[in-house]
Amino acid sequence: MCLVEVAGQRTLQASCAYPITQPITVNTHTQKVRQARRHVVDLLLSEHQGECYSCFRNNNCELQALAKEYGVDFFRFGHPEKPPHQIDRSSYSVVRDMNKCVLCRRCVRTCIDLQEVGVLEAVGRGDKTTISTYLDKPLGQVVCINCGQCINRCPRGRSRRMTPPTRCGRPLTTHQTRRHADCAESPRRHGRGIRFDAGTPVTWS
Amino acid sequence: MPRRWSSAGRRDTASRQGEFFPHRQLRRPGHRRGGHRLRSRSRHVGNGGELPGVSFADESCGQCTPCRIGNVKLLEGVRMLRQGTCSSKYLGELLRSGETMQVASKCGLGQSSPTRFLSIVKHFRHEFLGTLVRRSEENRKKTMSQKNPCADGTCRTPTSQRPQVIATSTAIGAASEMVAITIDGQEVKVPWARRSWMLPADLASTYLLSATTTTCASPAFAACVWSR
Repeated sequence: MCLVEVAGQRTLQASCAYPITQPITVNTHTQKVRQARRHVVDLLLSEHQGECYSCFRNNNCELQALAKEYGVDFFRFGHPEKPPHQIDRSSYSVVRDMNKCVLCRRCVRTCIDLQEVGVLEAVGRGDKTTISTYLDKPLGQVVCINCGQCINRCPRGRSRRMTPPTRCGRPLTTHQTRRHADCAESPRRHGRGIRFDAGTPVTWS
Repeated sequence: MPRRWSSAGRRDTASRQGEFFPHRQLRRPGHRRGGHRLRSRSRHVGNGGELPGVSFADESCGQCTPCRIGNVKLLEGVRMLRQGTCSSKYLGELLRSGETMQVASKCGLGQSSPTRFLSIVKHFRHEFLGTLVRRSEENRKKTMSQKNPCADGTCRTPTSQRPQVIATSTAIGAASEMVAITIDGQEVKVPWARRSWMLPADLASTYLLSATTTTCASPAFAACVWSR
């Protein structure tokens, strides 16, 4: 989607991966660029199991915003009718829904480069590419630390938080239980929890 | 700034690798070297055998979107063309997306994979479409003889009461495009995929049920339906 037209180049260039070694002239909104971007959006939508009305990222979705910006009013290359992947709910805080993934790999780069955990990686090639874990295990069985940064980076709602009512409903309504809150969905929280004093770091506890 | 890949004054030979073009264009600039394929007058591309196969979709690394999904859609389109189910509108969409793949893919695989398809459709459009139209008609007749109880003698409706179904459109059409057929002298518009009532039983029963209840209320037609 980051295609731009560089003066003197025959093809369009991906601006996120184009090294600048000399002064260049870049056009970002020519007809050629907009046409190519529109086709890329159409191609992405042809593999995106998007049920926008029931999606929790409705109105907060980069793909939706792009489709609106480029005037997508029909599915040029079709649309998946049945979800091809199962939703991974094995983790206690992260839900992985690969039906919505568009393989932007932001979660992979976040997990490897920023968090240095390395749970997620792109596996396979061509149209069989998926974002997978070690041996394609469910997220609850790998070394994921549930930091949730992949959720923050995901533009389309591939991964999301476990919904609050199912996880927090009982503790919040029971007066006997102390409440604790995750900060930025991080496990490095400070324990106000069950058997710790307030402010105790409970990572790895 | 030097224009290293300028196409002014000369044709970019590398960008035309793998093209199919007719013999009469051999002397054009830019065709003198490189891996071009020539088609003589005695060979024709209409049977679809020269169209790209599964290799590009398998070889794509999957990093950039135009190549990853575009090759798959191109392959699906080629299969639809071979089966005679690709509409001319969708063929246009495929051509435009192929041109996008040529300029928007990161590496040479995605940039060159639609070349063969684009050049065949560009230079051999009539030959290509004519053969495919003929093939879709042949498929239709084959299906008709297999599924038509009147044709194979199993239908018990008297000959005088049998409906006469004439498909008046021979164009390549999408499943949603409407064509006019004549049933017992009455013109009915039906989706292309169901333009004849000699279709697989599941489709035929769906269409015939709706046809008998809405537009096509011919008793002879319904009689032939239910006798199957």
